[in-house]
Amino acid sequence: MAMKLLFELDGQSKGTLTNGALALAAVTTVTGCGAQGGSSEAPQQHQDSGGMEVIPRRDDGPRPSFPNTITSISFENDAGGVIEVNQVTGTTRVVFNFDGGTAATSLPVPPISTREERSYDFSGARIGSVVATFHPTPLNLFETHPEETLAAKRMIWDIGLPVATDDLYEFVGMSRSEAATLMVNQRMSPEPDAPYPSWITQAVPSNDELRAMSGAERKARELQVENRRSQVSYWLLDQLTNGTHYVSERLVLFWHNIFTTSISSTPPEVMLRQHQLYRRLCVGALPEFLKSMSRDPGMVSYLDSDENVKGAPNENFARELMELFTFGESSTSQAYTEQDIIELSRCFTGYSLTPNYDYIFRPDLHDVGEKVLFGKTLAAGNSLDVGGDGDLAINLILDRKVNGKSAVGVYLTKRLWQECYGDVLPEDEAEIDHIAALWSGPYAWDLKKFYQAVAASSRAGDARRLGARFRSHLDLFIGYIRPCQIDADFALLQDIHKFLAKLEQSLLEPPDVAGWPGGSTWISTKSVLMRNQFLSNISGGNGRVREDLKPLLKYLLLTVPSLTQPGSFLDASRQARTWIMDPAFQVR
Amino acid sequence: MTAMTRRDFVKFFSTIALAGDIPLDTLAIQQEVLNGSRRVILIELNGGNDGLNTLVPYTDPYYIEARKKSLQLIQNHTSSYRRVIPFSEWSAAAQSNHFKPAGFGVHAHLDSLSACWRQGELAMIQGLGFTSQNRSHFKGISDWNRGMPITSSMDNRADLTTGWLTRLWRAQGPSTESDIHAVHLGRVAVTPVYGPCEGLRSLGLNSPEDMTDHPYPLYRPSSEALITNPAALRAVLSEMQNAHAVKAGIVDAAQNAPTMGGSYPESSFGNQCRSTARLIAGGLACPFYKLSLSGFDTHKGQVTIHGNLLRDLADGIAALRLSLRDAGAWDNTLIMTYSEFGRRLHENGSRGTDHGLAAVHFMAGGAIKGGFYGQAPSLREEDLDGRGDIRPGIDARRYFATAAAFLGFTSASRERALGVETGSPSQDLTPIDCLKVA
Repeated sequence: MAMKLLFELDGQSKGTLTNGALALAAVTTVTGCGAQGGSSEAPQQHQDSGGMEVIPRRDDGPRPSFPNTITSISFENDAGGVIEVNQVTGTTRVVFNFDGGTAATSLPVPPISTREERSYDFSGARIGSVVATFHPTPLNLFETHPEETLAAKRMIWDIGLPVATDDLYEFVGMSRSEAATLMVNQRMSPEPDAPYPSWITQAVPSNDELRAMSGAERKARELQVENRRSQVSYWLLDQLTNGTHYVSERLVLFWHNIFTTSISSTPPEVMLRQHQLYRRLCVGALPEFLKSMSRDPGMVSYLDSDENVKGAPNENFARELMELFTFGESSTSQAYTEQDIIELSRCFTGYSLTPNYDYIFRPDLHDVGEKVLFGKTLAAGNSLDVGGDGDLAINLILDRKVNGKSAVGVYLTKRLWQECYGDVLPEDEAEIDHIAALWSGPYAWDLKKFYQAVAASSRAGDARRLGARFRSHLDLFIGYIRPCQIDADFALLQDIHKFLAKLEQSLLEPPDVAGWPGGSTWISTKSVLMRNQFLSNISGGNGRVREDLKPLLKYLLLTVPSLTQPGSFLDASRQARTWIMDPAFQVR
Repeated sequence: MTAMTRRDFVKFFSTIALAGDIPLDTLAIQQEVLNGSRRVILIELNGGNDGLNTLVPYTDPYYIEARKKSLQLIQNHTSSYRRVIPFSEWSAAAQSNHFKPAGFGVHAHLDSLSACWRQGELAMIQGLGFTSQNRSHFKGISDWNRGMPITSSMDNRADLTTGWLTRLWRAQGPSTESDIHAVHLGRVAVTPVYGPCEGLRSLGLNSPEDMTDHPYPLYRPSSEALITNPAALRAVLSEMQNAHAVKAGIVDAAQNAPTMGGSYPESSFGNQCRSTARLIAGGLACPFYKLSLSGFDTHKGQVTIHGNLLRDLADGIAALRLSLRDAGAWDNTLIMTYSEFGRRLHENGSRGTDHGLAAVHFMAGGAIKGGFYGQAPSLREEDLDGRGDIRPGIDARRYFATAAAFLGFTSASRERALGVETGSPSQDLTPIDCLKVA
């Protein structure tokens, strides 16, 4: 027998919100009614002198009988004043006024980021004991600060991942610039939250070693490869659904969708090491990222650098390095010619692999001759000591200017812009050029400054972007699990892994070297049917959703108005599925 | 009669391909098309198919020199490996010498197409491409889907935002008699059917069962919702509406499909072929199907990889042919292949080939006049382009115009969609003379 009361703080108190402060509410459970007799009326809504609203919750079964009807509850801080909502620790005095008396106690207020239940003894008072649960109440901000809340949600989703209230509220009221700084500094990390699978450091068996194995041993290795590929996917899905450094989670996949490889054709150990490399380098600087990527065994194998040798160049890597990784297609970017592809592939000759899939430079396969790239000469004969001309060539690529603009800067800024904001609007072009100029100039290719500039852009908030971005298949699943704080157990991750495969978005397995094209290509008649089916499969019931978030699902899940449920968001009976199956959930 | 020499072969093709327009714009054909009884099955060879390892000039000294490492590998390791079947052997005894050019053969793994070839139902169209073709996978395939290459000097009059087939439908109007106008199995996003077109219903499927397995009803948008919402949401709603509109036709066809002949390869491509045959045999009124077979980007170790792909391709088409013959649909079906580019004559250091330009493609069907079209490419260095690639002989727009004519698009529609709207009003759009029907 429990009666829960949800206390909402009034608008005035909410108005005192400052950065880092969260709204407070107490869910107070009155248990074990002490005195006998009295009224059996359920509590009503009341306003106390401080304007505090008491909303009885509706879903808790039979109402208990009370010796007295509570007429008001007031909170005071130690100094006797009205509680400040940004007070996150300390002691608060709570006064219960009820028919015929007053009970008061001092409640130590728990830190806001944790949910905590505590019993407070009202011995001597006539209503017995009270259990108070403190937790951030999202209701206040969604209702009273809809614009600020929506802005915070957009800022986070633009460059990060959807979040639940705990995280969202930290950003409410911030400027874009403040939010960008916080996200780049505190939501990025070179290391993941969960440790990598322990086999990340293991060597890959060479072909000779495989041949020397018995049939059973070879079979075991094949199974191990399959098994580890799945493990990579589950591990990464876990980071995406639970990781606290969600800007890193988003951006490491962004970069892998440019510097693509595929787990389907790469040993899982190599793939995971490459992922680790990308995760570390994507918070560094672009030159180092490009140079390390060009020597990454996964990349060397995927784009055939190990086949690119003196006298018989294989131009696969050189072509994609310019067309897809740095400049954009030649007739658009005007940054390179077919001849530059030949010259560039010669620079990377000798980049190779040991039989165990580790990187090695093979001087005997390197073309030491003179190369002319973009009209600039790389002198003959002096590239052996430094492991080839690749790094010098990458420097020339980074320095390449077309019409006075950095070709790499403009191309990659545009790529990140599209990742964050969807289509490039005509008004965005000048901003993209501006950021590209900063990044390639004063920022010296620093990546965090680059992300910050894009995330903080004053062009970001354009109203035309709202609801104009298609959610990828992965976005759908993450966009359900993260904001609802679903406990993503292994069975759920397995389902998602399977669904992503059917939708052709298996993690780290892009359709080709250009990565997923994104945007409107996520949507087809086929995909809307399959998305409908899979979303309905994973969203059955409401039990997985964190209890206190249930009334907020519409706000947490949608960014544009619902097409199916225009009614009140306070209706907690609406299940997560209601909002997930809404067409509005397909965009953001 | 003696077999033709290589020189004769080249000369012969230079005359055969340039016959005049076929009078296809007849009322009867219009009616057939309206009934949805003609269809094109377009097969994408994703990655860039090596035409020279498909229709093989196996005695050409330039070819032998350029591919010597691969050829050596075959000789050394797999003496029993049948690499090429000469046309003299592949063609029926009764077929004319046109079908038996000396020094040419097909890749041995295409052998399951021999019945189709002997029946005179397989056309090999050589040297297809665009004059300013791009060697990028992505730009290459988008040029083919758009039906025109984009050059940096191109002015803004050209329509860049639609596929060539969509433009044809915009010119002539998609038939209201069709259940659906385009079904995609395999890669959905890569297609000549994209861009806005009133009344056009297009769908991607893994299998017809996609349409029946529905645990939660799909939202049914109101006509108002299709106007008032943001553009991205409208696109979602329009696909949902599309799904409702085509569902019945697909489900009926899959249920009605009779048992058919044809043994399909156990592969993604084989499944696509099987699903296509079921929909056609089950009576779906649909003029266009698109299938895809991936893996043709053979930068290394081409011998094995490419052979397996061609076997998959040939076995799939052969099975489709048998099924569609059983269903009485073969004569109204045109199967055609395409790919973003061909591959370079000279192999690279990895016994693979890098991105090239023009290549041979297949048209097959009961309405096809089998044989060779276009010129066998000259492999002499001075005839290749600067990078050593085969120059296009037939503009790909003529290839599309052939399919368009088969589907009953009028010459006026073809000129608009493939000529004027590609910024080339004077482009030769004469259909290739490989269709029996007139």
